[in-house]
Amino acid sequence: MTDGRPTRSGDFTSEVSDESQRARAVSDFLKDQNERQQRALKRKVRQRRFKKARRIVVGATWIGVAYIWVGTPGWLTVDPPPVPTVADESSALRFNLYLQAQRVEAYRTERGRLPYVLDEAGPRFRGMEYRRRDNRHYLITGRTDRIELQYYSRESPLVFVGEAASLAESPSPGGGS
Amino acid sequence: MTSSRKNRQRSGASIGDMLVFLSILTLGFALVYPQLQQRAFEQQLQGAVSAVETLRAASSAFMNRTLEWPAPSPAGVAPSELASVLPPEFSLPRDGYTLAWNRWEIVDRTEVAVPPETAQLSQGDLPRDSVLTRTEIAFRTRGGLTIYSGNSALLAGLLGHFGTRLSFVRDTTWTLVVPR
Repeated sequence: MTDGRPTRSGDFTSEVSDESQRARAVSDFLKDQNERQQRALKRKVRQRRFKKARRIVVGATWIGVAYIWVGTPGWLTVDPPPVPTVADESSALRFNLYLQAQRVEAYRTERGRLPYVLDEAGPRFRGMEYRRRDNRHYLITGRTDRIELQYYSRESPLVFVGEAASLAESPSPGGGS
Repeated sequence: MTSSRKNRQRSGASIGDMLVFLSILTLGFALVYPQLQQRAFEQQLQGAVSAVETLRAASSAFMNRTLEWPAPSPAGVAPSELASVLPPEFSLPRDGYTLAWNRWEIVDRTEVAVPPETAQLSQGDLPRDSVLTRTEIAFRTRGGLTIYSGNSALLAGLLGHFGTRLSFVRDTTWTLVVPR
């Protein structure tokens, strides 16, 4: 207390005998109560505003999360490398068929006859089916999920393999016999 | 005042605060997750490219030294010829894919002209300008690498990196022909 006026509710417990002093004390008390009420009201309003803002933030954030997970926006997704085209896959299958036919040819050259089953000529490429037509000719069918190709031994293997022929043709000094 | 309310006041965080924190954390994760996935994929692709380059360099060095490609080995097993050349920590089975070394045999059939005298024919048997031919068979080999993986994005990434001239993707395999 600096000017004799009470500043806390406990300060109103002091004895006052004078009428005017009592009136002033009551007025101060009422004023103080009023100020307290105003402060409490302001605090409540502030708290209500804060709660509302918090609710909005939480709601907006969860809406954002749901949008990202369910809607998968384009600006956020990372594109995987492009899937090989059918032409690329066809070229891969042709090259595999070519190599498989070469195994059969190597077997034929060594043994003087065609293998009865493909595995006789060594490990087979996956998805290959071999059919011996007669003593000289055979058919190899290759399959992927999307395409199916056939190589018939009457065909020139280098013509069959197409663009990949350059890989097969380029001379390699090793392994010759 | 209940004890839980007292605790909450003591810790300074309400359920609402926790909800705000969790939702912002989840949003941040949702924003960052695709980037993290992309970074992990790029690291895996980079690892695969570097493994392929290492095996390719080792097999090419072997080829230059011995004039032969290393013998083919089962998937995940390094060719024995390259054991001394490859780094000690190098392994062919890796996280998400398996490497394999291949050696393909190619049969070359070429038609060679045979002069009539070596063919033991008299001049009268054939016209003067005729040429006899004989089929000559030669074996040669090509070296190649294969990666087996169920991760189609990785295989597509390798195809994109090495190009479609030397490498091929078929189902779950990616193959690279190693040029001499």
